[in-house]
Amino acid sequence: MEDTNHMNDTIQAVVTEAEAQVTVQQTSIEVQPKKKSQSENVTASIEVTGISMVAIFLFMFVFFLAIKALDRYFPGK
Amino acid sequence: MGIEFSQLFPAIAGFTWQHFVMIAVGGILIYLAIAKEYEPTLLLPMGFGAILVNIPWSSALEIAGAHGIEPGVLQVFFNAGIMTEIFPLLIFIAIGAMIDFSPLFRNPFLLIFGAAAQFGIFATLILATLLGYDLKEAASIGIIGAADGPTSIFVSSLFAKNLMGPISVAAYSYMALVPIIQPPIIKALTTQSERKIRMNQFGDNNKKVSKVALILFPITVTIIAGLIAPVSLALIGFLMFGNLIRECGVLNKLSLAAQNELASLVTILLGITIASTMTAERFVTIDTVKIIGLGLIAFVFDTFGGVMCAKLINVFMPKGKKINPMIGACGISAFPMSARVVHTMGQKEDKQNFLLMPAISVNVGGQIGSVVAGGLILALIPLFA
Repeated sequence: MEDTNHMNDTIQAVVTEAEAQVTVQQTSIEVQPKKKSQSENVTASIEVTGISMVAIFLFMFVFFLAIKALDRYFPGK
Repeated sequence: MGIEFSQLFPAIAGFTWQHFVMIAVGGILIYLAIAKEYEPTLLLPMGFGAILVNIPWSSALEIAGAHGIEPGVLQVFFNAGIMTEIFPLLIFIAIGAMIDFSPLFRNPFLLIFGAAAQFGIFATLILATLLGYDLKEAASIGIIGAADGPTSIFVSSLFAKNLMGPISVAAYSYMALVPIIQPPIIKALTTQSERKIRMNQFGDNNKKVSKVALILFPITVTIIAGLIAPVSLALIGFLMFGNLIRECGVLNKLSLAAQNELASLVTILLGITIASTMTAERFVTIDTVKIIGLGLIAFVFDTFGGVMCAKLINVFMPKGKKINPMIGACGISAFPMSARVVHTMGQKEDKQNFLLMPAISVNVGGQIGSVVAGGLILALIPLFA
């Protein structure tokens, strides 16, 4: 009787582990990113363009200020 | 005997017309490098590498070892130098050591064109998505418009390794072809009177720049760029590190080594390693033709962006303070070709018009702009892809 119980416990443990693996596999399948459609890519590219162009001008403005500040505090002789 | 021809001469038996095309492409790159001197440091190793990897069963790509197929030397270089981004970043140290930022200190306002002339990158990004490329591939193609080979390689090594061969070929070829690509576009966008505008009144071309300011500039830029877009730090940081070596004044040997030996050695490795992606199966495709075409469009829109920005500024400038719109075209990273092109065009219209100094300032701004654009692409694309 004890042997049977032990076997049942072992089988249960194996089944639980197998189920857990299936769950992990299913989860990893769900995590896979969905491939974007062409129109979504075009829309995203327009958004990236808008943000990037504004950001580049901002970066350059900050660098401009940095040059002005460096030039003011450390003037060439 | 039972030995077949294909076993005796596997390379000859496996040779196809695609291999022939790629060997011809390699030959053309070598010709351009030697006869036309178009970016020889990179196009020559790439051309020879293209021949090396397009002979079937090339041991440079794969070797049949005791444990099956093992990577050949070029594959080892690719995995160690490109996949890890080490080669492009080492090149950035060398480029940083070559850049003199003092023209920017004399005309800091001209930095604006270094931003405007990056327009080609993003116009091409949109076009590439319209042609069906996904966002990462489109960004890698668009970055050809940075007119900066290492930035193109760096971005494509992260986003589209499969397209790295044609992207590198397009980036370096068009950089070399700036004197042919830019003049007709500049002419089409400007009038003769605009091309005659003198810029003597602009900035102080003889101003002395303090050594301390030149030392602090790369450190400041690194900190600012890092705080705003930390993902761009590898790109901008290595460039500025190279510049700090140049400007610090106590590492002259290292600075010279970075500008010469390091640049030469890494360029050889970079060129021949990128060629390992130029196999017939990958390169002889319609994608290559599209990428070469899109790369040209990127350079055209770069020039358009810079020139039109100058024309827009001129609308608000009083008479006598107007900018020669041609210098907007120098906002690309192709240094110093672009500045020379504009200076020569200015002299053709008016022998007394000396645009070289402001054009150089804009060109240096373009070098910063292209790296910033690359950094922004690295930061933004993963958020939208």
